Amino acid sequence: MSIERIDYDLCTGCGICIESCTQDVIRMDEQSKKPVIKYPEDCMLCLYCERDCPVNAIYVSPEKTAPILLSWG
Amino acid sequence: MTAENVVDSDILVIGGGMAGCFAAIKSREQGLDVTLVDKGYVGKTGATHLSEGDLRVFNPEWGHNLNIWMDQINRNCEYINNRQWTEIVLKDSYERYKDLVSWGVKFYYENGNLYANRGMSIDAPGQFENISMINREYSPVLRKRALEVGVRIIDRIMIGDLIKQNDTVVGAIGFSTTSGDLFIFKAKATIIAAGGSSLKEVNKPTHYWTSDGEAMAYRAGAEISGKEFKFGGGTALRADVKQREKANKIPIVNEVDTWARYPGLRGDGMALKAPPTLNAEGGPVISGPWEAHSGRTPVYVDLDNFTQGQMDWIKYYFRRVDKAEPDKIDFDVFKRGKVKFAVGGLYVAQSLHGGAGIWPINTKCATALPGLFAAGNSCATMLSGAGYAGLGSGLIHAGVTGARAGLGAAEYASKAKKTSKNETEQTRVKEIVTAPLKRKGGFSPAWVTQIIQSYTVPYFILQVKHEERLKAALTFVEFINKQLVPQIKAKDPHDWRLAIETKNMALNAEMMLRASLFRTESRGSHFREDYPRRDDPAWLAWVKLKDEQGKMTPVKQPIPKEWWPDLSRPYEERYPRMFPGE
Repeated sequence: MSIERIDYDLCTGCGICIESCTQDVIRMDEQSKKPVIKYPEDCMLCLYCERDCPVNAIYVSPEKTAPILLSWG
Repeated sequence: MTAENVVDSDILVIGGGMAGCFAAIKSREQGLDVTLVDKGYVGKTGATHLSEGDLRVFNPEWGHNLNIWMDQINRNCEYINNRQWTEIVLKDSYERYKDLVSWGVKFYYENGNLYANRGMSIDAPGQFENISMINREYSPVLRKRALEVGVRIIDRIMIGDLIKQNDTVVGAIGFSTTSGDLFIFKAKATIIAAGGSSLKEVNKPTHYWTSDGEAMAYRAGAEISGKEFKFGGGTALRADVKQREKANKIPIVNEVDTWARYPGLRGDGMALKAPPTLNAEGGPVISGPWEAHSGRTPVYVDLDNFTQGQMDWIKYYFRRVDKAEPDKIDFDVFKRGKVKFAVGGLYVAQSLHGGAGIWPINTKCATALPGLFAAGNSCATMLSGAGYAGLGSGLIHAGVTGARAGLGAAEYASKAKKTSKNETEQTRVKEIVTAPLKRKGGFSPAWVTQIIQSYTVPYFILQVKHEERLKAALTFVEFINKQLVPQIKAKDPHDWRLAIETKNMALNAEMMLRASLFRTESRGSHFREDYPRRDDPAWLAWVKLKDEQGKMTPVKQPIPKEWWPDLSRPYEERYPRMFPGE
């Protein structure tokens, strides 16, 4: 499922991962001041968030699952 | 929508990659007020940031010979590259390289020398080389430089459509994908540098490329070209690659491209296990799909075909791109043998760098619409013709056209009068842009995107093409554009971006199908099963698409006769590589 988790024990809330995501998948949570995976379905597996994270707090899984095709949606 | 902002500047640049940053910096340096917007974050956006950083720089002082370079590119592009632009990009390249150095971009050195790699080999030592920017570091430098010279940068802005005053483009309307605020950009000149096109195929991380630039320009009345051609490339062993990447820090995009594409394109025979007749310049685009079409799946990359030189190059490439220790890399690619292509492992709809987009009417990157300029992958200079002009061409083309568009737009804006208000037109465009968010019900952008993909991504539509199938797909895509797109509903500002992107991709799908149907021959990356040969001189021509009273209309634009290959030479000499069925 592409981007899977942010390890909040490690995350410093620097926000670099948010800049790195061209697909707007990660957003800053105003309350916790930490990034959250808000739109994982739009992750394109470029891995930039994981690679740019200075404390290795992000894990992106290798699999990208496609949604089941519906009659309308 | 919570607020409406009006940003008034001399120049609006849409897109903040290599081309957009060059355009913004160069026009700002002319003393104009410049606004640069991007749907991502400028400095880490689009294909520029995802690229490996290879730059095709031509410099006679380094011993480069223009004729050799031009001949190689003309052949790769199967003679329908725009030679005027090919030469401009080569001749401007060294100046753009010097710009990058002066802004602080670092290049890759080895043993104290600027390293030059041979992205596409020819039998001419010292020619056709690339130099390489340090991967992932150069893009943020562009942002830094733009801010230093006083460019106003607004990140996370999705532009919906251009605003026109009579026939002149006077800005654009967009919104913040985070706050949902509407932005009305007024400008004397607008530069589109919004990248190329793809269809968000699952197997290739180019989902930022949704034809935004060419779609908004087309809707405003511009001409679009190069839509029947595509980038050749492969993806393989995704999950497996990922695990290796964990250990070695090799990015997926570079690795799979290197495995599957470059060795095949570099002139030493196809890497794919395929009959020699498939060894066309557009080979990697066609051979995999043709294997599938012929019932020979799974498709393998036969690494035993790689020469030692190719292996050394791949090893070097990995080491450079992520500074990995070559001895610690333990890829299958170095163990040789056959490597299975992942199912569906070729991307089908990515546009060629410098080979598709908005048609420029002069060498300043102006378009047919006054006030509108295009640069980078949004600009159909046709530097690449029917096939890619070669590794490193994309980024330097972006730099060269970005700078030219920036200077051209600055010149235009300096002379342009302040436009009078046209509230009616502005309101009309605003209604169109905001419609998905205002709609009470409708289809999700994700679902419509999936429907577009289902009619375009299978190999037998845009890879192994045939009139019957192209027409069938076009019937559905026309329906999508007519019936589904007007019903796309966005549930929040993020979804609003997806809604516009989906609309643009639906238009892109129609463009690709119409151009592919119109070109009744095969050439480069365009393969028609029903017309498997090049048709000289009838198709020594480009296809331009334009809206004529609501109907997408293709027009043939012949290339200048002096650019024709020597037609007295036998076909097999002009085109040593053959298509299936020839």
